[in-house]
Amino acid sequence: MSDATSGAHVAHHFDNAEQQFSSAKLGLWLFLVTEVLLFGGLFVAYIMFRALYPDMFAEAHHHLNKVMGGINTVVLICSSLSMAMAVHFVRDNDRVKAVKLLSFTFLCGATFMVIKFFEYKEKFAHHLFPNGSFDYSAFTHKNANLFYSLYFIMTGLHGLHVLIGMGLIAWVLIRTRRNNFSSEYYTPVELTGLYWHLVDLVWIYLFPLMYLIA
Amino acid sequence: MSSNKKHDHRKTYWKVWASLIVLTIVTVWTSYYDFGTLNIVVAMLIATTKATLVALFFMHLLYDSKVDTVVFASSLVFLAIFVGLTASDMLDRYVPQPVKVAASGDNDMGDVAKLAKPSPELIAQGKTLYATNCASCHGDSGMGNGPAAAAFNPKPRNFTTGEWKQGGKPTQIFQTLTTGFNSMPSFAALPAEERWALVHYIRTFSPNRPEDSAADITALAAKSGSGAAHIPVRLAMELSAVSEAQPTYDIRKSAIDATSEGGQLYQTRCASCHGDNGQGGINVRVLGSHPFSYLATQSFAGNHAAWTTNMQEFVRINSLGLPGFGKPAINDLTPAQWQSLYNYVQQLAGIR
Repeated sequence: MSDATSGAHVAHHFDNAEQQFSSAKLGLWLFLVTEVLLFGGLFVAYIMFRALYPDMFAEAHHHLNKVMGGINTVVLICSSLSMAMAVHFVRDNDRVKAVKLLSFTFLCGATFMVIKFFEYKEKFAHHLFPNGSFDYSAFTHKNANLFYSLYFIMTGLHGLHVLIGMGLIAWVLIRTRRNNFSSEYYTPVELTGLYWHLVDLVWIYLFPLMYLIA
Repeated sequence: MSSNKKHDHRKTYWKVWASLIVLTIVTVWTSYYDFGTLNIVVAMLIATTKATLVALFFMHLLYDSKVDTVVFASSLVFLAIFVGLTASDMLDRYVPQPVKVAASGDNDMGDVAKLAKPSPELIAQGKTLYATNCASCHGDSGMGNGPAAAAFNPKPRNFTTGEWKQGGKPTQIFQTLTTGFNSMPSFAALPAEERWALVHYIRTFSPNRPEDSAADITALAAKSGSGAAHIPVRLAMELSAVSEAQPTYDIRKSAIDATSEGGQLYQTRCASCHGDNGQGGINVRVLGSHPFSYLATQSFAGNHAAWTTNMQEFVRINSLGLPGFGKPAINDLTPAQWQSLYNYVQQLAGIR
């Protein structure tokens, strides 16, 4: 119990490991609240502009690739499952399975980013990135760049979260391999899992709002 | 920690995963059908179901301390407040009369010779510009009685008299607009075509409209250094917009009856500032002004703006008041009382 017990150290201001664990979790939930409000600001902008220009949104979204968006949705759902399973096996002291599942989750995140990269690349190639060379002629609504501003900032911020999530997964993956965790102490895995599920949760809303308008 | 048995949710995880996949397929599938406004409702219901599954099972909210759930739910409450307050502002803003871009194939409006001639497009454009640039002093109907007129001596020009101090030819008015005159500032900051639009709109107020000679136009064109000023096509398209038809209203006139319900309401609620017969000219202190400044109320006569021709607008303005201008909000009238007050004010304005 050399490594595992060292991680289970209970700080002096906690009664026991369980209280320490639930406090850490509460702290992460509070962080997730700020995440919801961070994305919330963008969702509010989306809602207002869509309410103001419903026809423009319907027209502009046709240039997004439903299939790629759909595949990415499935990829993230699968990664959420493997993440939840990984937490289960870490808690069950099954290191081998946990490492496999964490690796799978990491690969799902990478797959998501690769697909996203090809989507972005296509948008840039068609001058749909809202900078000076935005191709207004592709649309009858002259403010279609607004939709693409929202698309890039919202999926971009989400993509950044995926990258950070992948970093966290890589970190707990290495620590799991080093046998740092056990049923006694697995807080970092649990918290990384919560963060990863939130990333999935945001995408669950982004997908229909961006790709499936009409 | 406690036994791992009660933490074994693997079967549940698989079921949740299967549900999420099915719901994803359903949401993609439904996107190919058109339910009208229900599209977004269906999509958001499915997304919320998926999000709930993720939060309850993958994120363990169902099994964990209820405190976590309350904390997370609080973010949704604040998000709802965020959306609600923003929507109540954004979606309830006053939207000006819809304008349609005039379908003019000719975008070359840059030469003075052409802009010096009035056209319906220019006049309509001038009307819009007039409301934002001129009406505060010259009044909505060009009578020189705008809200800020009280502060000026000499008073702003009343265009309806037909008198011009700086000349009433289009080129002369254009010059006045460009250079300014007395208290009137120069409007040279406006693009030339906007000044021309104003020229033609202002002339519609006047019974006296002297025309330019060819020499006048040539002289001005020579003065500006170029006979053909360039206007961005997009700007011209945007600005040469024609207002949609004004709402028609009943123009039968009836005797002004001060004993009617509307008349009674007017006498108790409005007359102290707007005058017994809506003649205006009564000074009202601008709230919060130090030293005190006063705005004279306007005459209703001939004032056929939206608030006298559209009851909804009338009720809106009067029930909100004009904050900062000393016009209080009236919010205790019944619909019938509003109607009779509106009728009475229309009579005073000479519409009904």
